[in-house]
This record gives sequence, C-alpha cells and structure tokens, in this order.
Amino acid sequence: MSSSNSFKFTVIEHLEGLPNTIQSRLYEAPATCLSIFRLLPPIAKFYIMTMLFYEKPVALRDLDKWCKPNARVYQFEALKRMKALHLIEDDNSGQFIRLHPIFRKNFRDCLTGSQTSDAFGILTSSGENQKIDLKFLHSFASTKWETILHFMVGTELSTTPSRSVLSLLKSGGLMEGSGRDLKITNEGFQFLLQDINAQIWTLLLQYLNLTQELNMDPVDVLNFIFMLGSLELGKSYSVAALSDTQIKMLTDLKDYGLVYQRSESSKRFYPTRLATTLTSDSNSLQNTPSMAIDKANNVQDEPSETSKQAGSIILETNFKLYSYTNSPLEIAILNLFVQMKTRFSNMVLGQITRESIRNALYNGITAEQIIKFLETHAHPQMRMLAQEKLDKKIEFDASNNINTAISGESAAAAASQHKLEILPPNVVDQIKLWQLELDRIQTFEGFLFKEFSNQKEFEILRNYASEIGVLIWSDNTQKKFFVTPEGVRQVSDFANRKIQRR
Amino acid sequence: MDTSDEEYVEPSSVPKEHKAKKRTNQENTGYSWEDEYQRTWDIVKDDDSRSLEAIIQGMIEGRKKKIMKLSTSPYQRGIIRTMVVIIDGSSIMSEKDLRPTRFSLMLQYLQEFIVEFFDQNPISQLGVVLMRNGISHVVSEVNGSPQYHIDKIRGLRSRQHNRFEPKGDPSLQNSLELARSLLKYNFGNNINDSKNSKEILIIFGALFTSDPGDIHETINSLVKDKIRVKVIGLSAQVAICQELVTKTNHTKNSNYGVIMNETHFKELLMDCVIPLAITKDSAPKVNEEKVPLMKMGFPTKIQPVTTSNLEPLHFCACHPTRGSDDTKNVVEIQSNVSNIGYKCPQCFSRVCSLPTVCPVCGLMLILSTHLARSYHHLVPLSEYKEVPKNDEGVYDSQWCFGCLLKFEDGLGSSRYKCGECKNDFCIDCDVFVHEILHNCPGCQ
Amino acid sequence: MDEIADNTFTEIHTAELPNDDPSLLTLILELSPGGWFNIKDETTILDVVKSLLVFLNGHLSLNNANQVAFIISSPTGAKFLYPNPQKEMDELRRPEEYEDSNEMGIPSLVSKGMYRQFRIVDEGVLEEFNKSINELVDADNTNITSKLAGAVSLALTYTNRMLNLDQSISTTTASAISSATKESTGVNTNTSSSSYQGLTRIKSRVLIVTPNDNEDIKYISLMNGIFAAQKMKVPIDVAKLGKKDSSYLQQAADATNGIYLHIEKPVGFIQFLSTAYFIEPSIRSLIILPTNSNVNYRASCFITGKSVEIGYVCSVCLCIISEIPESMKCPTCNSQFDDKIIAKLKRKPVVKKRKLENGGAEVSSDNGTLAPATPEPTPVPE
Repeated sequence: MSSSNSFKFTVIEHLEGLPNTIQSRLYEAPATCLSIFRLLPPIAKFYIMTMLFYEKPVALRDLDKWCKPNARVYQFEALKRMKALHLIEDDNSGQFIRLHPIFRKNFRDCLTGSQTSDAFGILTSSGENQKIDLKFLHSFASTKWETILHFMVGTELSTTPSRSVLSLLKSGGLMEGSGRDLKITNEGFQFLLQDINAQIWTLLLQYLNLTQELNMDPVDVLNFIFMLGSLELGKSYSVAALSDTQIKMLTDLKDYGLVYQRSESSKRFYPTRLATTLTSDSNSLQNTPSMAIDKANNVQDEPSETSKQAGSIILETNFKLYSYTNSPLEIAILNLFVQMKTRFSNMVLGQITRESIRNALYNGITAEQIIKFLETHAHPQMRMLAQEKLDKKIEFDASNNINTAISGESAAAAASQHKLEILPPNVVDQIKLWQLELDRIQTFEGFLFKEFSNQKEFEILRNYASEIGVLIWSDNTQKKFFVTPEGVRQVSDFANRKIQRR
Repeated sequence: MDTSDEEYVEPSSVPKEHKAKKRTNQENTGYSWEDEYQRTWDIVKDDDSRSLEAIIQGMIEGRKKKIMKLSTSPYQRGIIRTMVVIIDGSSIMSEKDLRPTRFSLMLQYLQEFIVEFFDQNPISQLGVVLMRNGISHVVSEVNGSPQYHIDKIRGLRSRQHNRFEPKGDPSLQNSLELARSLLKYNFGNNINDSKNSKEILIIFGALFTSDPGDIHETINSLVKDKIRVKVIGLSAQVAICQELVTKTNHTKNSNYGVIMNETHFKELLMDCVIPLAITKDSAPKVNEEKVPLMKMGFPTKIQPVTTSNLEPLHFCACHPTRGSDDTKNVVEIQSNVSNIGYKCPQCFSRVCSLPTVCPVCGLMLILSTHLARSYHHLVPLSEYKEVPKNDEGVYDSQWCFGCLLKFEDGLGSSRYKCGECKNDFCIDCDVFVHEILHNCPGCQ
Repeated sequence: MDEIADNTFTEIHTAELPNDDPSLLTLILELSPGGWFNIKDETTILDVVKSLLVFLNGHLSLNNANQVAFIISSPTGAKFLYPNPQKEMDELRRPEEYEDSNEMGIPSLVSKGMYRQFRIVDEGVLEEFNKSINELVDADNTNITSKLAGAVSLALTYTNRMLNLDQSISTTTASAISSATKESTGVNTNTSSSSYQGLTRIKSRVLIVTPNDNEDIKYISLMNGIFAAQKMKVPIDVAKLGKKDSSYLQQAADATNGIYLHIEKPVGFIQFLSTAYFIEPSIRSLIILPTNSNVNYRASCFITGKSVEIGYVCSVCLCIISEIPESMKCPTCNSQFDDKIIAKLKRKPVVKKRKLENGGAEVSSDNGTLAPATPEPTPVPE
C-alpha cells in the first residue's frame, strides 16, 4: 500500500536536489508536468489543482483553513515538497503563494488538450510488418529485469546482463568487485527487498548521475523517462520525435527491459509495462486504465497474469512462513531473513527466528523493509482475511451510527482510524523489537528550543511543533523541546509571530 | 487372523457404499453428523464436453442466484416491530457441540443479528432477556439503539463478568411473562396499538423448562396480547415450544426451527430480520380490509450554538436519569453526538436520539429517512429471470446493463432480465441490485 | 514494548501519508431541457460539459490507475457515455473525423496530441453526448420526468463491479466450492446483506451535476440508492446549478458524507470543480468539506408536497400525509383506512387543537422556522 510512496519520495527528493533553472526547464514538457504531479503527495495534488484555474495568488492562511487540525502534518509536508520543487512561489511578503508560471501553463494545457501535439510521443500508425503483442512485451520486460535480479543474488544463468547494466550496478553501490566477479553489497540486499517500481527508479536515478558525467543533458533524460511513463502499452512510437540524447538512451533502456526495439536502427520503439507504470503505484501494476477497459470488454482474460502478480507468502502467528513459489529469485530473497526449512515442488517453508532477522539486520536491511516486503508479497488470502476482519471492525464501530442521520462523517472518521493488518501483529512487533535490540542509541539532527519565559509559551510552541509533525522530543519540566531541521524555520516563524503579538 | 479380518470388513463395506449412494440421491437429509465426509474435489466432475472452468463459473452463478431469497409480493408487513429476544443461559448452554460453546456462539450470532436487525428495521425496537438459573434477567431494555444492545451483549461475553455464565435450569414461563410485560409496558396503552408487531424470539438450548406455574396460561395471554413467538431450538424439538409457536402464530408454519449446524443456526436467526407479514388472523378481526393509520412526528434537529464559550448544558427528556449506573452505557454512546438533539413537534420536549417515542406526549418521533429505509420491504423488486437464447440461438444482449460487463459466451446464459425494463444484467449486478440497492437501474 | 508505542521515536520520519489509492469517479450529468433552459443566461450545457471534461482529465492525472465513468440522465433514460462497450476507443481517428464532429456543431475539444488516456475518455464522452442530444431532440417530450434515480443506480452498480474487480477468481471459486458443499447438505449460506464485503481498495465517489429545479425525482428509488451508497461508503457529491436548492440531493450528499453546493451563477464552473469537488476520498478525512451541514431532513406530504411536522403514516406503504383524506383511503396504495382509529385520532380535542396550531406553524415553516435552526455555517473556503 504505502510502500509505493517510498519510490515517490526518492524520485521527488532527487528532483528537489536539482537547481532551479533545470527544474524550470523540466516544467516546459507537459508530460513531465503530469508525471511530477502524479508523484506528489495527495494534499499537494489537491492544492495544485485548486490553484491551477485560479488567477490570483492564494493566501497561505486560506490554505490553512482548508485543513482539519489533525491534518497539519500532511499540509506541512505538502507545502514543503512543493516549495522544494519550486512549484509554488512566495510573494515578497511571504503571505501569498502562486504556482510556478511555466508549470501552471503547461499543466493546464495538458488538461485542456491544447498542448503541442508531440508532447506524449508520436504514434507510428501504419506499416507494421510484424505485430508486437502485449504478451511478448511482458515476457521481454520480465526476462530482462529478472536477469538483472538473478545476477545480483548470484543464480547460475546462461545469460548475464549487459556491461552497461553491470557498471550501473557497480556505480550504484549495489554490487562490488571487479570484472565479472561481482558480489552483492548491503545496499544490494536492501534493493532486492524493494518493490519493482522502486528498483527501477533506483537504477534510473543512478543512470541519471552517470549521464551527467557523460555530459548528457539531464533535462532531456528526465523528460524522456517521464514521457515513457505516460505512453501507452502495446503501441509503437516513432523514434523520429526524439532528440539525439534520447535516442542514445534507448539502447540502455532496452537493456533494463523498459522499452523494446527490434533493432538499433528500427524506426519505432515499444514501451513495456515496466516503463508505462513508472509514475503509478506499484500495487496497481496490473490495473492500468487501458487494461481495466480491456477487462470491461472481456472478462478476466488474464488470470495467470494476476496470479503471478499477487503475493505468495503466508505468515503465521508462530513465525512460520510459507511461500508458494519455486522461483529461485524469490527463495533467495526470502533466504535473506528467513531460515528456510523445507522445499516442496510448489512451495517453501521457513521460520522467522531471532538469528535470521539479526543476520538480515547486520546486512543493513531494516525491520521496516522486511515488514514492507512481507506485506506487499502477502498471499491474497491473507489480505482477504485481514480485510474481512477490518470490515467487521468498521461495520461494528459504525453500527452505532447506522440509525442516525449524521452517520456519514463520524463513520468516515472512524474508518480512517482503522488500519489493515495483513501480517500477524505479534510477528511485526517482534521484528521491530529485534531491531531495537541492535540500535539502542538513535541520533537525530535538529534544533533545541529552550529558555522559555513561561510554561504557556512553551506549550503553545511545543503543541504547534507536534501538530506539524516535526517534534522529536520534549520535556515539560525543563521546558525544552527538540525539532527536526526541516521544521525549525516553520516553528521559529510561528514563535516570532506569537511573540510579536504580545 | 487374516481371514477374520477380511470377514469383518467385507459385510460392512458393501451396504455402506449403497447407503452413500442413496443419500446422494435424496440430496439433503440434513444433519451434519449424519453426512458423508465431503471432499471439495468430489463436487467438480470433469465432463468431456465442458471445461472445468466453465463448470465452476456455472456453479458460482448458481450459488449466487440461490442465496438470494426473494419475496416479491407486496403485502402488509409489520414494519414497526418490537421484539424481545429470549436467550437461554441455562447450564446446558455450556455444551460444546457448537464451537466454542453454545452460549458464546449464540452471543456472537446475536450481535450480528442485532446489527442486521436495526439496519433493516430502523424504526423498530429490541430487548434481550436471559433465562438462567430458573429466573429471567433483563439483559437490555427495549430500545432502538443497536450499540446499546451490543454493549450489553458484549458485557455478557466478557470473561471478567462471569456472573452470567450458563447455570441452572431455564424457565420459559418466567421469561415469557417478563417479555410480555416488556412489550406491554412500552406500547400497551398506546392508542395506535396495532401498528407495531410484537414479537418474541426464543433461542432455546435446553430440552425442558422448569416453571413456577402453568405455562399454558401464559401462552393464552400471549395469544390475547397478539404477541407472536418464534423459537430456534439448538438441540431438538420440544413439544411445548411447538405448541407455543403454533398458538401464537395461528398457523403451523416455519416459525419453529431446530438447527442442524452452525450455518443453519445463523440462517434461522437472520430469517427473523425480515419483517413478518401480517397474517389475516393476527390483524384485528373487526376491520379486515381496513388498515390503521399512524400519527407520527417529524422533529427538527436542534444544533448547538457554538458562539458562546460556555459549554451549554443539554437535557433531554429521554434520559432523565442520566449519570446513574443504569444509563452509563447509553450516555457513553451518546457522548459524541450529545449536543445534537431533536425537538418533538407536539410537546417541544427534547430527545437525543431518533427514532423513539416521545417520552412526554407519546408521539412516535422519526426521521423521514428512517421510513425510507424500510420502503424496499414494502415495494420489493421483482426477480430477474434468466434469459433464454432467442430464435437464432444467440443472445440479444452483449453486456450487462448495470456494469457494462461483457457476457461470456459459454454455457449457461449468465444473463438475467428485468421483467419491467427488459434490460439484461449479470449475476453480480443481479445480486447487488436485489440485496443492497433494491432499485432496478433500468426501470427508473 | 514501550519503545514501539513511543511514536515520537518510530514515526517521526515516516509520517504516514494518506495513501494514494486509485479511485473511480462517476459523473452524472442531468439533461433536463427545462433546467438548462432556466439557466441559459448563465451558462450553456456545452460550457459545463467542457468544464467537466477538464475535470475528468484532472482526475485521471492524479493517478495512472484512476478511473472515470460518465453517465447522463436524460428524460429518455439513464445511459453510460463512458465507458462504452460498444466501441473500441482504441482506434486512431482520422483527421476527417475531427472535421465531421466540427460540422455537427460541437467544437472539437479533443486534439490529436492529447495525452491518450484523456483523449480516449474525452472523445468517447463527446461523441456519445452528441448522439444523446440528438436523440433528445427527436424524442417526444411528453414524459420528461427526471431519471436521476436510475442514473444513481447505474453509477452504483458500476461502482460495485469496480470495487469487486480485485477479487481474484481463485478465491471466488474456492468459496463457491465450499458453499456448494454446504448446499448439498441442504444448507444455504447466509443471505443477509451483511455478508456483502467488497474489497475496497479502489476508492470511489459519484458527482451529480444537475440544473433541474423540479423536484420530480423518484424519492423512494433515490433513497434506496443513497442507502446503498452509504453502505458501500461511496460519497455522493452534488453540484446543483440554477435557482433552487434540491432538498433530496442535499440529503443524498449529507447522508453519504458528500459535498453539496448550490451554484447559482455557474460562471467559472471549472473553479468550483477543481476546488470544491476535487477532494479525493482518500483525503476527505483531512480536509474541511465545503458543505453546509444544515440539512433539512424534513418529510414532505405525499399529497400537498408541503413539509410536515406531525403527520400520518399509512401502515401499509408508509406514505406520509399531512391530513386524512376525505375518501379515507391511502392516496398511494389505495387501502382503506381503519375508521375506528381515525375516529380515535380525531376525537381528542386537545390534540386536535394542537394540530391546528401546528398546521398554522407549518405554513410558516417553509420559509420561517429554518432561520433559527441555522447553525454557524462551516467555513467555506474561497
């Protein structure tokens, strides 16, 4: 579920790191605008949408009014992201904000359909001598990608990834060694546990770094990547519309399985599933709109596809783990943190132990990653059970509202409190505890606020800090608290405002 | 040794097989313990002509169609119901033939029943009575709030308060009398007496009752008060229950059921959710064709004025004893909505939840939405019929009218046609439309 | 365990954002000729459709997996404009076809280079929309009651399917087999509607746009739809254009936690859409909804149409009437009322007096009594 956010954050963080001028140039491509928009947190999307068709600058105070008090954290987060991307610009006074003009124009054009015609690639319409069907593209993408993963876990394979992939793996610190004798690193282990979208993005960002060294224009590269994300599966696109840099990229992307091109000189290329879902949630991989339409037209024509996508892991409260798989890759990944016991023709059986988890932790894998991995790969049956339980709970809690007319709001509020527990909570807690055993001391960077003149002032500020979610620690008796570096400006601004009032 | 072994096996195996065959021919004899062991793979029979998947598809649809129980004829139902559920808390309820015990399974199902009951009958009220150790206790007063009942039932289930652990003998008479007084107390002297159907539902685990007096007299007074009794037996049929049911319902219909297994138990219980049809006999004899008219109040919502800093005090007429021990749970439930009240249009007293009967002037207070919730019982949607092929041997429609699902051309039609608007629906929409929506999308 | 419970230490850096699950937006546009005529000075249906298309694009742009559906409720019946199973939207359109659509008088809103996902939807909607307008012109206008309840029902059946799309075939098969086992022992599975459990991973909402001022919506059907939506947790948003409020639709929005706005001057409709109606279900719990909570759940008399404070309810069909008809018959189901009970109801002089008083108050309640009950409105963002 929320695991998909992880890759979004890494991508956005990368974009945030770019200089302002490059960002502005990026926003000139409608496809990029659309893709960046998709990567933003929901509240940011909402804010952008409200400002998109509103000509005047918007007062920051008005934005505050929109949110419920309990949503301050998200609001703060959203504003921070938008500012870092320079999507919103302050007025001089700092009271009003407006959208980045180029972004605004292009995104608007994109929605109203008045942008330039090649923004989303040019379809080749005629003269296909050989039709490339979806099945082929899927198998092409997955073999390419799995080869890379298999190589990383060290499975004996007839084919190895191409040299460019290897150098990428090495420069990304995922593997180390020389020549063909590469060994997986701690980062590599972590990489394996991520979902496929996050993996692709990790490689692509690494690729971006490389291209900068090769003096390729990062804007061109990024634009192309984002454009790939908005192309349609199963269609062929013309190479002619691409810049030289982008044509150069095609061969590399082909190595990762993102695009398919029949030969280097071919005039058209096909994006694969890996490419078209770059900007979407991983859990909706099998559920892109075009496919939903397909589904509307013919009922479940791809049960095999879905069953492949669905997870296979069943975790019991006694720490036993069953996985219906015989792929060496999945078994190898499980082996990172599970003590494997028995292997059957269609499933493996293992046990999560303190030792096995500690091994993983020593390898630099975090408890959070393990839990996320198990959650995303949980068997649909586990998910169904969890959902059923949750539904029962919600229904039960909502039942007192069934008879009153005001049911809606409070029911929704109650529903938002419920969390889907796919994994047995005792196992989750235990894994977290095992991690805590290892790191008794955690360090945080931040700023200490102290020497308040009175308790009230202290409380006002502290409550504000915790409201926007930047509070790390506080002590009531000594009147001190500690906030994250990101939040310090916000808090001190607030403090200044409050103190001026007095 | 060898020969004796064979001899022992031989005779028994043959009739057993024979018996099994006979059983499957008869289809359903019922009790789970009499059943052959069911293997899931036995059901799927591979046929040369049809693919396995198609058979399963057919099975799914058949099942979905079957679980929809429809009553499509509109007739008068007792929409406003007052029901007292009598549950058995005698020692026999700690029997473990239902898992984990009869008692806890019953309570678990009862909770689900309560939720469902109030969902389907928003303007009805319910009370729960427990028979235990020869006497009967009021578990929850007759009330219209599902949460109140559920909290009470939860109190019964929780381990700490095991003063309600099953114990002693049940007494039908005591409980029936208590239930009767509960039903009478609430509506006995109301002028619009005939508008609510008074019901008692007994979940009875024991096979006997130990009563202080003559239970037949109690039955007669129940008949006199037009209270209808339903019984769900957990072990076997009991003659006195049969008599009770027959007399109070005036018919020998299915109001007395004995469970066969857990699923059947739940099914019997959930059957009681649907409002009873008012039978000829139970309706007032004098005016056979005439229906009563009910007077009701539609109160206005009172919103609290939030401008002042003072938290205004709210008193309502329905909880004059607010704060005392008995009402603690009620207050808790209301606490999140406590500052919203409704004003009785007749006497202007304030009540805090709807629907209810105004405690001051006795007017039935209700929101129009509550009435609307019951409409579908009164105007049921007619059943969709499976569509046959037309003359050319093909189907006219290609996709479901409701959800645009393309029909699969396999076996079976998978199309279900609405008789009114002649639109075809898929099985999922059929189920959804009849069970949840109660509206045909094509007919509106 | 304390360390885990201490959220300052575990959750500070992973502030869990509301997740960004795909969502389905179903638009219902009411094509009531009278309603659109009434607001012809303010806006045209074409402008509204244009705005709605941009709004749909906006929704699609939120997430790759977002879905839309577009239903119109015209006097000839409710109908899906998109998705349209009849047509493969996938084919490339030739330039000539664009010209065709221009000739039909509808300016082409779709350009060839548009993001394909947008284009497929927009083209589909526009094309079908033109068709329905033409159909409407041809149709005889004798029966022009609102088909909105049907449209809501359609939206819900479609939503229902989308909600259940996730359920993989294997599980349904398994449950079918297990219950088939039970069936052969003569036992049915539980029939109650509580067994309804959609796997609600895809979120869903409905937006109704209507200029219809006549309250000729089929009340019972609409209410059934509302309750179903409530159960499915599908909010129904309503944009009511034109002069009058619609109390039924207000109830619909209120009961389902949706947004109801009465837009008298739909100038800059897109701004309303992109602000007030752009609140995804996933962030609904965080945003103060721009809706007025003061909803009047009054009942209205089936005969006079006036609102009722104390009324009579037929025990057969539950219809609400404010006075006992002369015929002593229920106006809806035609059953004869029990004269004894009516006599009883009429006999009490005190009550009757009261009733008259209320009768007087009733008239004023149409415009008067609402005012004191008006609470402080929730802040409506600008």
